[in-house]
Amino acid sequence: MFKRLLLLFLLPLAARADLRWTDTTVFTAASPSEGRATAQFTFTNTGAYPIKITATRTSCGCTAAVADTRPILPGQVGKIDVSFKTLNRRGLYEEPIEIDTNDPTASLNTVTLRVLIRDAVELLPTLLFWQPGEPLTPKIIDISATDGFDVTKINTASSSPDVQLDLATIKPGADYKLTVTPKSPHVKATISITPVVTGHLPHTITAHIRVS
Amino acid sequence: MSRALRQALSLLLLACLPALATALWHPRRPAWQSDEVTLSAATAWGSAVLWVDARPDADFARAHIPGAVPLNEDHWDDQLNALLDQWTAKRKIVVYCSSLSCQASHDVARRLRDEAAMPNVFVLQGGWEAWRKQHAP
Amino acid sequence: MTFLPRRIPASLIGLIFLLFGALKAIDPAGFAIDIRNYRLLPWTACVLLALYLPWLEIICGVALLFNRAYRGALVVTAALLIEFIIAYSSARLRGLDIACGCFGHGTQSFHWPVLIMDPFLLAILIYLLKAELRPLSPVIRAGPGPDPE
Repeated sequence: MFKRLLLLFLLPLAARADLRWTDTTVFTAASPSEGRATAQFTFTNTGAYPIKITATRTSCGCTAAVADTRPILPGQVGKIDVSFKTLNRRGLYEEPIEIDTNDPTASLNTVTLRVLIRDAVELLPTLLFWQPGEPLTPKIIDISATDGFDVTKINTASSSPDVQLDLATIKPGADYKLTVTPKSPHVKATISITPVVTGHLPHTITAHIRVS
Repeated sequence: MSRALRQALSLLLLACLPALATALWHPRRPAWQSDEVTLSAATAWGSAVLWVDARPDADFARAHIPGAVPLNEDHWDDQLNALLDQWTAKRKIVVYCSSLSCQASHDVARRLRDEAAMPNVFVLQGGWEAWRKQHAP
Repeated sequence: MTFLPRRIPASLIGLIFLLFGALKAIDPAGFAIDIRNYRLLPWTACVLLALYLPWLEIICGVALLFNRAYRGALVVTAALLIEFIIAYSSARLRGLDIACGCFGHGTQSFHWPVLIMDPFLLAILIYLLKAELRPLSPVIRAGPGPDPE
């Protein structure tokens, strides 16, 4: 009985083309200033027939997938190059990419690109607001350097003269505190925070201030 | 068979302890409150809602929920600046994108919640499709 | 004494449940989202299952690996597989193309692990459970014991 059950599950696998992905989830890290994160998905045709990728679909315009469109013979390796826009993005993104093939028995494959976008420094929070009637007491933005980035200095500037900025170094190259004090009950401003990082071009991060 | 059931019950009970520990201390424990809201619930909030469209600019230009502001990650800083002109801490932000399975609204909501520390940020269940279905002529 | 060759599939299944349970336990928030994607339960129920199920899998996996509460572990793991196959089939029938969440959050929605592996594992578990509930002849029992003659 058990042998019959086993055959029942294994038999459909025998006579078909078969894509075996090296990894169906690929992880990569990048910084916003790089503009793009790239990764490659590779697969082997472990079936008995040639297989061809007919289309790729991504969930948003932020991800582009370029597939190897030549027929992949049994035993051959094919690839899909994926790129993800990193500009203005932060955090962990999971982007599914759907791949259509000419194998009628298993035409749809999905692989996932996981991208961690980390800037040289992380601001928390990126928005400071004072509600109507709230006293204009100072509030703080924590600035932490990301591991792997050698931050030597932090430059700050406000778009409005009605905002006072005071930068304190808690641990050089690692932790800073930016104290923000509005000087007027109606302020709409942005703060530019530019870390000076060894081996990297300057990249400004923006924080927003609202007092209404 | 009763021994099997007694053992099964012991295993079921034993799993409760680490589950409780996870609920209390795991750094990646889930939030008890979901960030998704149905269209009917969001509509019931009336003018307290600030609709945020996380779709590409071209899709927003073609059609969007009346009163919605665009916020996508291609133009994050500029569009966030414009969004803040319409936002107050008392408003409920409801982010939407294309459909049930679209990820952009979740990414935008995550950044508004985690980076900007904005309160009351939700994702519209069903996205733009849900709105269109309800308001189809 | 358990019939020795049965220890191999039982241990393999134990290892699978232990590994996959651990992968889910690392990111319970992600696992809750995967459960929610099945659109079967309200969010609170998804959170409760995301907190509980990985540990149940781990504990049952350990039980099968080390031959403790063996019958109970067989029953629970079989029940978990049946529940999961039903949920996944329901999602597919409703046209939801979702990541199964089997191997932790963020894994892709490739279907063959669920459609082939889970029924296969279930078949093995049912075989092991039936064999456990129907004792073997004393002639082929391993280990010390009175000579049947």
